[in-house]
Amino acid sequence: MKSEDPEIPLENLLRSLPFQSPPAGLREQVLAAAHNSTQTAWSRIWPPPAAWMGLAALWLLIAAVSSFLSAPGPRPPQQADLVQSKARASEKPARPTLLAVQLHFRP
Amino acid sequence: MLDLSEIYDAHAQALYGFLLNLTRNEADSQDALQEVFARIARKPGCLTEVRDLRAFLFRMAHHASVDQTRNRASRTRTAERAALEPTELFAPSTDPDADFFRKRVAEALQELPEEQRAVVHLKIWEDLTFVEIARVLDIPANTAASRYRYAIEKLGSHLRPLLHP
Repeated sequence: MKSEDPEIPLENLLRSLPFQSPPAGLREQVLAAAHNSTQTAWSRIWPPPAAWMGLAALWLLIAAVSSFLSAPGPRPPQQADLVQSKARASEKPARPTLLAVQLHFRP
Repeated sequence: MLDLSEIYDAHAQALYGFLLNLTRNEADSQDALQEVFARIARKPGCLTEVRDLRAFLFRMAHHASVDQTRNRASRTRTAERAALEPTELFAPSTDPDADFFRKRVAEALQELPEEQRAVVHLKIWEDLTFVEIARVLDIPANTAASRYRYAIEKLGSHLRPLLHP
C-alpha cells in the first residue's frame, strides 16, 4: 500500500487523493441558473411577442363587438324625453275638453 | 465575451472538491457552486481586473459557502445533517486498501475546524502559497501558515498509525 511507504511525506500522500467529481447534470443546471440570473425582474414579466399579438387580437375583437352593438336602432328613452312627457301630463286640459265635460254634467 | 461554460469546464471540478471539503454536503456544494456562477453572470465585469482567475474563483466559492452557512438556521443543524448523511469526499478506489485510506483521511479532515480545512485544502490540493491563501480566505498570511501547521499536526496524529503501522 502506498500509504505505508515512510519516505513519502503526508502532504504528498494527501495530494494524490482525487476528490469526487461534480454530478453529470450539474454543468447544465449551473449554466442555466447563471443565464437566468442575468435576466432582470422586468424582463421576466415583460410579455413576449406572442403575448403582444394576443393582446392586439383581443383589442380588435372588442372594437368589432363594440361597433356592432352601437349600430343605429330604437333609441332608448332619455332624460329630456321623460321631462317632456311629465310636463305634458301636468298641463291643463284643453278648452274643448272642458266644454264637453260641462255639457255632460249640466243638469 | 465571457464564456461561463469554459470557466466551468476549467475550474468546476476543483471548486466542487473545495466546497465538498468545506460543507461536507453534496447539495450544499452544488448550491454554492451554482451561486458562484450566478454571481459571475450577474456581474461579468468583476473578472476584468482579475489577475489570477482560479484564486478569485476559490475566493468566491469560499464566500458562497460562508453565506450559505450564515443563511442556515444554525451551524449545529448543518453539522447534524452532515453526520446523518455521510458524504464521500474522495472518489472511490477499486483497491480496498486505498479506499480504506481515503475514508480515514476524509474522517481526519472532518475532525478539523472548517477554517483549518480550507487552508489545508488550498495548500495541498491547490498548491497555493500562504500569501495566496490569505487573499482567498481574507486572513493574514501568518494566520494561514499557523492554521496549516496545526492542521497538518492533527492530520498526522490521526493518520500516523496508517502510515507507520
